[in-house]
This record gives sequence, structure tokens and C-alpha cells, in this order.
Amino acid sequence: MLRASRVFSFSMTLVAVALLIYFGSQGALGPAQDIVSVPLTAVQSFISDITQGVTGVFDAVRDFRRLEARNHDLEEALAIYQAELAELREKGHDYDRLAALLDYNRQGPEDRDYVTCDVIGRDTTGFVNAIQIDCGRRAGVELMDPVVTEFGLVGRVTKVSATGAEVLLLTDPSSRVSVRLQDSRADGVIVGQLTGDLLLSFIPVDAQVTQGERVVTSGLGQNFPADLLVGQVLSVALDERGMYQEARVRSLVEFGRLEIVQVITNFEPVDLSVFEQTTTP
Amino acid sequence: MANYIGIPILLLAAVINATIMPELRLGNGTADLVFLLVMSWALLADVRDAMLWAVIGGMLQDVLSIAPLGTSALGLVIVAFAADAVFGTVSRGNLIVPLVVAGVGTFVYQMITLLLLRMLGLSAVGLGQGLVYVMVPSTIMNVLLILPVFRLMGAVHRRAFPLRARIE
Repeated sequence: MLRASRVFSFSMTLVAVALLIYFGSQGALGPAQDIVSVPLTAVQSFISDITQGVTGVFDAVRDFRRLEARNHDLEEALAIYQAELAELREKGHDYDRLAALLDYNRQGPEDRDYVTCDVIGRDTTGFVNAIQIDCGRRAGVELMDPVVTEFGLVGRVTKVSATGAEVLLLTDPSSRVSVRLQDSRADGVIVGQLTGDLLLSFIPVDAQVTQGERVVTSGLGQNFPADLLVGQVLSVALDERGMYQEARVRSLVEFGRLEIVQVITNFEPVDLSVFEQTTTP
Repeated sequence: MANYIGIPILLLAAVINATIMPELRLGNGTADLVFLLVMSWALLADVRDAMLWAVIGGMLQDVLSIAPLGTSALGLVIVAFAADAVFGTVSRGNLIVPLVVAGVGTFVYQMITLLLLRMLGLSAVGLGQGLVYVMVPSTIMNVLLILPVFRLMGAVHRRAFPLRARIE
């Protein structure tokens, strides 16, 4: 009798959890989740501050060599970018003059609104590369907002509550970003890897891709604004079937050590749904 | 009343899972404090209490995760019930059963979570990659931590449900 009641309790619990998953995936439990997440985010922020303080001390001692190598990488990158900056500034002036002549309006970095947020946690499932930040709807953060740091694109907001949000990182295997190689102008798609690497796929076979070439968002598909830095090409090879090229890309963003990020809150993708409607003759 | 002690314990465990545990990674795997607490309670207390802890702990974990509410709870409920069905209630001093439950249970729980995330379109991780980069490291971490957590929960259980002497 006792055994049957345990099986009955187990069955009822399974049914309740299955219903929870169904309604949760449909978004019906959003308001209830918001109520619970506000105090949880506050506790998470508090514990995260303490954790970062403690790990900061250990990191300084343990990561001396890693920081030396990273410093060297950043100094090299800085030297390259400084040389290009002067040239780009001149081209930027020419562009502004020509754009004014054509009355051509395009949103640039100076037009973007940013909200700076602290990283307060990481996704607990292990199969998803995502972080939690302490900015939510009250700070102007919305679903699908792009997230960046000064080193480049980090990811996008995939879950948001009143006071916090979850950001799917570029390195997550389900993350897909349309990008463009800055020199060869070839388009491709960045796919995240569970190991933390970035793989640039679907590069046309005839594209001349060089090591060190910068990769930026292309704006295609309207998932991200154009011209956000993603990383640099490390190596190029043909894919398994020989139909496209694939490149390993290194981002300057340290995805495992994010502490502060910025959310772009005024990115509004162009509505392309009108082009998907079928027209009757 | 004694079961309500689980709520603050699980809340703290869920927050620690999201903030402190990621600093102690092995590959992409970490120890799962909520899982360890629920399994410990499943071996110490009545299975219905353990399933309640599984639902509460799983939901708190999912609020701090990309997964929809109930995703973690499903795996925790199944593993807690299976652990009780196979081993029943064990003594606080038992060393072998918690290790077996942590090892096998972590693998089953993570497999259920991964399959559910793939079905919901929230993860593109393959089973092979998930096994190597997440499940095996998480199992190692959980096995290392289960015994201290089990002893701690044993002390909590003794305080919450003291044995009463019966005079005949």
C-alpha cells in the first residue's frame, strides 16, 4: 500500500513538472518568474560581489604568466589599430562629407545607447554558455538586445526580468551570428563551440581569407547591428565536404572572466516579415 | 514544518551554483549543490519530502538559468525517486551509497537535462560533446563533494526530525 502511494506521488509530481515545463516554455509563467527573480537577483549580486573580490586576489597570483601573454597580445593589437586609426579617421571624415551630400542616414556607434551592467552569475545547466547580468527591464534592457564590451561582441539577451537578464554568449553552440571579413568582404556565420572557441563557417571557397583578418558583424538577418567587432582569424581550412571554407576565430573578449558588459538598448531590427508574406496575383 | 527548512537551504544553494561554483570549473562541468542536497535528502528522509525538495530546488535553479521552469526539477524528481527505490533510507554514516548515487545520478540527471534542452531548442550541444565536456567533469566534482554534503544534511535531518524514545 505504502509503495503504491509513493508511485502515485511520483507520478503526480512528474505530471505537475511536465505541465510546468510546457507552460514555462510558452512564456505563461513569466510574471510569476519575475516575482521570484527580483529577490534572487539581489542575493546573487551580493554573493557575486564577494566572490569576485576573493577570486580577484587568487587570480592575480595564479594568472601572472597568462596576464603577461595577454598584455603582449593587447599591445600588439594596439600598435596595429593605432596605425589604422589615423587612416580610418581620414576616411571617416570623407564618408561624413559624402553622406551629408547624399543625405544618407545610417546609425553609427555614436548613435547607440548603452547600459553598463555587472555580471553576477553563469548559467547553471553546463550545456549552455550564458551569463546573468544585474540589468533588467527597469534599466531599459529588452529581449534580443546585443551585449558588448570594449573588446567586441559578447552575445545577446535571451531572458529578461524586472531587475536582471540572461545573456547567451557568442561561444554557445546554439549561437549564430552573421559576420563579414573586413578585408576580403566575404560573408559567413560564426558558430559557438562548447570549448569556448569560435568557428566561422560558410565562407565561399573563392574568398581570399588571411590570418589576422578582422571579423565584424554584417547586420544580415538583423540580429545584430553591423560593424560590431567579433574577433580575428587564427587559421583557415576547407570544411569536411570541401564546399566552404572554415576559419577559427579568436575574440579578444575573455568569455570565462566577464565582469562588466554593456547592453545596446536602442537597436531596432528592420521588420523583414513583410517580405515573407506570399502575394496572390 | 520541519520540511520548510529546505526552502532557504535550496535558495542559497541555487545562488551559490550560479555565482561561486562557476569559479570552480572542470572543463564545462561544475559541482551541482542543489543536486547534492536533493540526493542527500532522498537518502535520509521520506521520498515525498525529497521530491518536494527536487521541485523547489529545480525551479529556483531554472529561475537563474536559460531553461524554462521545471527543466531541472524533472531530472531531480526522477533521480530522487530512483535513488529511494533502489537504496531506500540509509544511515547518516553510510559512505558507499551516497557516492554511487552521486556518480550514476549525476549522469542520468545531466542526460535528462540535455535531452530536454535539445527538445526545447535551447541547446545545440551533441551528446558526445556533452558527455566529454560537461557530464564527466560534473560527475567527478559531485562525487568529490557528496560525502561532506551528505554528512551536513544528516546533521540537519537529525535536528529537524529528532528520534523519540518510546517507553513501554
